[in-house]
Amino acid sequence: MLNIVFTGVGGQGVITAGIILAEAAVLEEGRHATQSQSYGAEARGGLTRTDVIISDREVLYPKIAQAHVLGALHQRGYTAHANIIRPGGMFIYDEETVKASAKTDARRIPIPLLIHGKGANMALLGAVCALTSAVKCQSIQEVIQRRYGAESSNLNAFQDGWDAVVNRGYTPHPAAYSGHEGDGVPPTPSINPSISGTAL
Amino acid sequence: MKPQEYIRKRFFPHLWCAGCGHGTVLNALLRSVDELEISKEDIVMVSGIGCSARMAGYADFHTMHTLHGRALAFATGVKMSRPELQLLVPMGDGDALAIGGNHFLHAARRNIDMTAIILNNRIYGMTGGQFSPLSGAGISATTAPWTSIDPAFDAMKLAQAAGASFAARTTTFHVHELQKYFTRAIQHKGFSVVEVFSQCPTYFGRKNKAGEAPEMLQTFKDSTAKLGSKQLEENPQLIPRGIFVEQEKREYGEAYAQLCEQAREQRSPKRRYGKEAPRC
Amino acid sequence: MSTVRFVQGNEACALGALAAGLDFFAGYPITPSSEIAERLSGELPPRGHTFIQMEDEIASLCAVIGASLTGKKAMTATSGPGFSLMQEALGYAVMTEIPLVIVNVMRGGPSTGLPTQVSQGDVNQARWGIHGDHAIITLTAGSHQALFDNTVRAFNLAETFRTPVILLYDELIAHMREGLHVPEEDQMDLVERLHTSVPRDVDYRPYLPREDGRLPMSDFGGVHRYNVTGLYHDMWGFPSTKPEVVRGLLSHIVEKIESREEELSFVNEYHTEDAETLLISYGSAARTARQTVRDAREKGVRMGLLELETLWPFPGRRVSEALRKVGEAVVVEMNLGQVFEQVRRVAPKPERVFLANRIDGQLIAPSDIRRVLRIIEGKGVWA
Repeated sequence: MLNIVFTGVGGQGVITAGIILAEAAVLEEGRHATQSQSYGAEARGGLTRTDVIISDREVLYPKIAQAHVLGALHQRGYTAHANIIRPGGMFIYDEETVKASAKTDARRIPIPLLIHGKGANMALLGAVCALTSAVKCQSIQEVIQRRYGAESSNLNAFQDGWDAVVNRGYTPHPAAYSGHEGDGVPPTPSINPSISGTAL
Repeated sequence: MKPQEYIRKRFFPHLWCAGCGHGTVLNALLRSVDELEISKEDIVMVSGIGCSARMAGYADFHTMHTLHGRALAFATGVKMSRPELQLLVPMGDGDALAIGGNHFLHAARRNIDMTAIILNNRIYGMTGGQFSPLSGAGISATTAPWTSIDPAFDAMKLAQAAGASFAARTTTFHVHELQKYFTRAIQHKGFSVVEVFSQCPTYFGRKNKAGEAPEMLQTFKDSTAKLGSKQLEENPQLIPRGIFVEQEKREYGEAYAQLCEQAREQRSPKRRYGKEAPRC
Repeated sequence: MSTVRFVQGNEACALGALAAGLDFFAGYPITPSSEIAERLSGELPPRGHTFIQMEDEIASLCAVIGASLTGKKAMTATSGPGFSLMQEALGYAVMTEIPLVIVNVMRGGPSTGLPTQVSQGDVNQARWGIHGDHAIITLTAGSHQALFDNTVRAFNLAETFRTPVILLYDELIAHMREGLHVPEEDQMDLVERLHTSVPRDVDYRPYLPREDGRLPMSDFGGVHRYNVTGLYHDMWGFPSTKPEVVRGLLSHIVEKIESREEELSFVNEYHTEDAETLLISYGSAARTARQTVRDAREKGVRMGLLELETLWPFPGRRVSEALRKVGEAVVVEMNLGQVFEQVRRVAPKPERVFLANRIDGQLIAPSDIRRVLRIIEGKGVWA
């Protein structure tokens, strides 16, 4: 089971990122996944959080108490949810605007996310994809294409997020993060999405 | 056919008081239906609650006696499902414009094809003579022993402002006019309103020393005048009768049918929502 | 074959309604149910069916009743405040025996409450919201698959019993996304409107049940003209105050549902065969309960779950039977004990029935249930 939380403020697309990730797991890979969210009454600007659980078994309780991965697009989201990362988990965040506390017992992965503007959520997905083997890059690309079309700049942002992680030498976490039950072996890094091509 | 061939004898005697104007309204309405040669099977009468609402039971159409104030909402469901049916919606003044005021406004706004009939006796008869939003200030009622301070709605202004494409007013004294307006209203494509002053000698008459039915009918004659008449011009205190609005305007059901057509054309048949299941 | 989709619960409900043959939807926007209306506003017009946004929830249910009388499969969807407004028209539909479906997506209440958060506080309102004695069918669901299936089932039961059916589920299910297998059209069992075989000009009695209890209908606009009223009425639909007519109609309305409790008891059992502790739950709380059972079983603890998909008529016999086999039971729900009270009512040993609940707008967690279990076992909880 793999628990991923994305957080930010309304309008940044963190919920969309969660949906795409979980949808890729379910529709493209035939796995079980749930995506749930919490939000306030604001359409824009309120604190948002989405919980994605990917598993080989039916996901029952859909809320995450301990996340393997926390992705933050906003300092407020980080501050509110930093304690949710499980010890040894992974924290992916925008290097410019989010300051991670040294107290957080997690691998810190600061990368450029917000420079992608509205594609920041896609860059976050690219990074998650490069750092876990939860869902194949092609699967996410397929979902992005279905939603936004093959020419969408979202595909570029996704690629950039992936590249940022790989180019800076961040490697997938040794503790699997595939979400497969009992899977303790380090995952093979995802195939570079640019190699997989766009002829999907 | 004779008017009595449009009524359900099983239901009689009716519950209206001697001298009540509602029977006159039903009579004119049935004559109008007969004049238009509409089949009984093509008419749905939907009413709310109150003396006027009992009309639905007496008429031999598809009939629904529903909830206080909600008749137009029920009728909207029928009309949108079977646009070819003719909808007649008799309502009392409180039924139509107090508890049902919101539904009245929105049915008029949509301009949905049905005929709303407001049997305005300026009182709640069935519950024992309480004042209504059409009573007006200075009226005595069982809940206004010191007389009412509430101003009255003008149903015609309300109907027009809300978007009704046909609105007419007359009284139970002017029975030929009444039948004529019903005929015009039913023929009209869109939301049509016919307001009929109908006498309630039992409550309104007694409480306000307005006399018995004949005196009340005389008052209807004396206190009203035709729109555009010299009489009205010279006596602006008189209440106008006549057709206040009659215009062609996009009818809701037709607009909806067009929308469906447009949606059918625009929808890509290849739109995908999911994937073929790998198993099952 | 089926199609897999990844959808919100509200979309699963909308898809279920379409699969059931929905012809007519009327509604008014309200969180957390609006996605149902949104989805149907896109799906119904191209099919030539009706979507109408009414001026309020009262008008919405009234329009649905009007549509149903013309022979259409009709529904509305709302949440607590809107469901409160619908009670009068719901009573009318019960009295006049109109098949329709009302979806109530529960949010925190009373009043405006917690519009975007989870609660299961409307269970008793579904049963007792309208005035006067009556019976009602209320279904619920704890997964998107169950929600889809029970939406179809709600339409089927509405047609079978000529009654409004309430589909009650909570905000978590409504907004969460998960996979859903949508079966092909020909794989589904649908109950269609039972029309009268009485020919034109022969006396049709709309409120005369057949021997099997079902009441064949005639569509408004068809060859039979009859009266529908919320007053007590005879078999022709004419108002009546005769004592025998009143008694007969009320007992018919109640008995047609209450006497079929077993047929209407949709209940799922998980690991109940050898369970010593039984959890009883429904809706999203049942997901938490099932997670708790799964975790317990992995540790060798003999725990089971009885998941209710019928809330009303309360599946008392099924619950009572299950309770006979276990030491204690914990009802898991997100209110002050609305189903808990029903379980205690039918329990052989009510003192062995406990409540694990949350009322703070948060989904109940496995740890909440485990705390209650520790107290039952006399182990206490750490402060």
